[in-house]
Amino acid sequence: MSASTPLAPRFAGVRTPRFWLLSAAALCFAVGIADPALNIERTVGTYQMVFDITQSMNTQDMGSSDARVSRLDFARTLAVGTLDRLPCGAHVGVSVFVERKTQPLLMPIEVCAHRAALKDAISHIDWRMAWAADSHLYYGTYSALNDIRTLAPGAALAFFTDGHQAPALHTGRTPAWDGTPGDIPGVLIGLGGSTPEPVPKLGEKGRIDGYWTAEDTAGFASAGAPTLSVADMERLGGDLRNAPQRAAGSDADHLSRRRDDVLDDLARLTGLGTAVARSPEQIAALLRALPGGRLTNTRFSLRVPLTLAGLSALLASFAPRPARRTPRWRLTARLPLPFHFRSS
Amino acid sequence: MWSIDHPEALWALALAVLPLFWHGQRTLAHGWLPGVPPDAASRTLALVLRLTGALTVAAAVCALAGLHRQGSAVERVGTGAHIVITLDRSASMSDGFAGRGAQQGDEPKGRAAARLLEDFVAERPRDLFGMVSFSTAPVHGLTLTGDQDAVRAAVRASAAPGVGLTNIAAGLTMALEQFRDKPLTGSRVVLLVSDGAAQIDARAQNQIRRLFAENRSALYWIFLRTAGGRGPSDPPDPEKGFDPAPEYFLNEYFRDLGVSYRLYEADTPDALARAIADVSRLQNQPLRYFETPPREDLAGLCLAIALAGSLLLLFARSLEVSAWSR
Repeated sequence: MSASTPLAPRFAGVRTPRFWLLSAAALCFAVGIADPALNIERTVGTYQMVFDITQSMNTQDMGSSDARVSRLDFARTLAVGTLDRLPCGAHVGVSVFVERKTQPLLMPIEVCAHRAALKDAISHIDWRMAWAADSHLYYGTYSALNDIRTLAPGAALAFFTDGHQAPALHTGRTPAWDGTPGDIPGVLIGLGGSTPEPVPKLGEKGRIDGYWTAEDTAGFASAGAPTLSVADMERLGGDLRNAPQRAAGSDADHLSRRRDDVLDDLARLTGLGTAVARSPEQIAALLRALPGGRLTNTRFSLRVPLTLAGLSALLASFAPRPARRTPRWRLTARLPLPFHFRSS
Repeated sequence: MWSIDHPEALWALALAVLPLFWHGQRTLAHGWLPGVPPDAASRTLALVLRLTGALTVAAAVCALAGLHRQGSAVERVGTGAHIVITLDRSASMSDGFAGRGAQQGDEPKGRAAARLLEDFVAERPRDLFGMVSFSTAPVHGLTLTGDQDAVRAAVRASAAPGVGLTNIAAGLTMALEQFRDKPLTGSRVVLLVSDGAAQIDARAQNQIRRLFAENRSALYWIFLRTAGGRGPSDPPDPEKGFDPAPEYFLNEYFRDLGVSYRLYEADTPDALARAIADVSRLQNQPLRYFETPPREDLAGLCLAIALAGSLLLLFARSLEVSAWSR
């Protein structure tokens, strides 16, 4: 470009902010191709999810008031939703509870890689898996903790239950636990409404055949009724000998509600926490807040943030400069640069 | 087959329109535009630069959305089977074996079965496994799956002490239902592991017979004999008066099913191991299975396109003039 050329272009594009934005974008993309990552160390837990599948869990008092679902349906949906909100690396196992015992269906496996299998196992949980109809929740919780101690040490318990104990317990007959409270962390996740609702009797095909009545429940004796001599019975009066062997205050046992009192009592005995089930986010947060867990390295890829940064820089480099006030009557126009190329 | 991890990110593709309007180029004031002759080369160059901008944005968005290629499953022929492990989890599975030398404190049958079955699963990486357990009621464990770790976790879970009774009919029905509406791409096996039998009523007998015929599944029954208990090969003793011998009659019923059937009686963990090894050998028949090729990530390629586009633009920018000097 000698001075003799009548119109010499001055290459000054290099110094503009647009040039630098575009360079930054290119740099971001270039680094992004290499896919750098941060290794973040974090604790991930192992959780054994236990589902109460006794008949009170079929009570339809969960969900919105126009689309009631059963407590068990709600728990299943909640659990599957929780899987998606636990960090990869966390392990989850699945058990069911009826009568006095829990039965593990799956020992803990990693949630991300085995999501399909976990979802399969959880969504097939059914009240018909029950091998008995009683619901001795205290024994069940102890069994769940025992399973963890013997089969999955290091895991925490997530017990989805309504706290309904059937048959009811006599006062002072609460089963004792031989473990140390707080030894195994966990949370009892309460399901069910706060008003007593009838418990449906479901037929083989899952249709509601009827509801439990007071007569039905009265047919099942509570364990551990005090042994009375004939003399005692006479002294106490009434027709005590033929009276149902029911714990005091269990007349309305055919109706079921969320028994926070039972859950709190269990929590006191075992050192577990309690919560009222609301959302998968809540359950995932509760589980992640439990003590224990293992340290794992999680690879946090920087590709997405880099691409985002590059894209933003790229778009910013295209954005028009804030318009300068140009008098409309002047016969000038702004032309994009390529129009100015000229062979000389 | 192209697929995308985060389809919602594709909304950002709309941003690719922006470079068509915003050229991002330095402009120079010009006195009289009509005086500039139309120049086809310049117009083409302008269009190319705008399209390059649009392509660069689109490529970056595709990288964000996690574009990848997931090859369709390729059919291969190997050896293996579709096996539904049907495991007895009744209370008696917590008892020891019957074999000679058995004593208190021996490994319970349930735990030995779980341990050996886990090895069995581990040795057969190509098989699909399903898991059903039963006591008083059938319990669905896993649908037929190739997820080995999950199957092993389910088998390990069965080592827990059992509960309830032995309801074989319900367990078998649920196991056979696993094959329903699945393509018949390999030999099918119901591997029944139990330590007892129960009478199956006539209705359930017909149903199970029909399900076996419909699903063309073989049946292997590994019978774990309890100490003091009897096995399927002991016929009822007429001397003893009424003797239901459910194991014997169940065996007779299975033999009459018209499907490939084998009975293994295991008195000891070793015998159980031999039985499982035998099943393993029998089931190495040709199997058509699908193998999904590994996912091919295209985000890197998208970023490379974005990089090329931005370098091209950068080159164009560097050629921009700030003024025409005289």
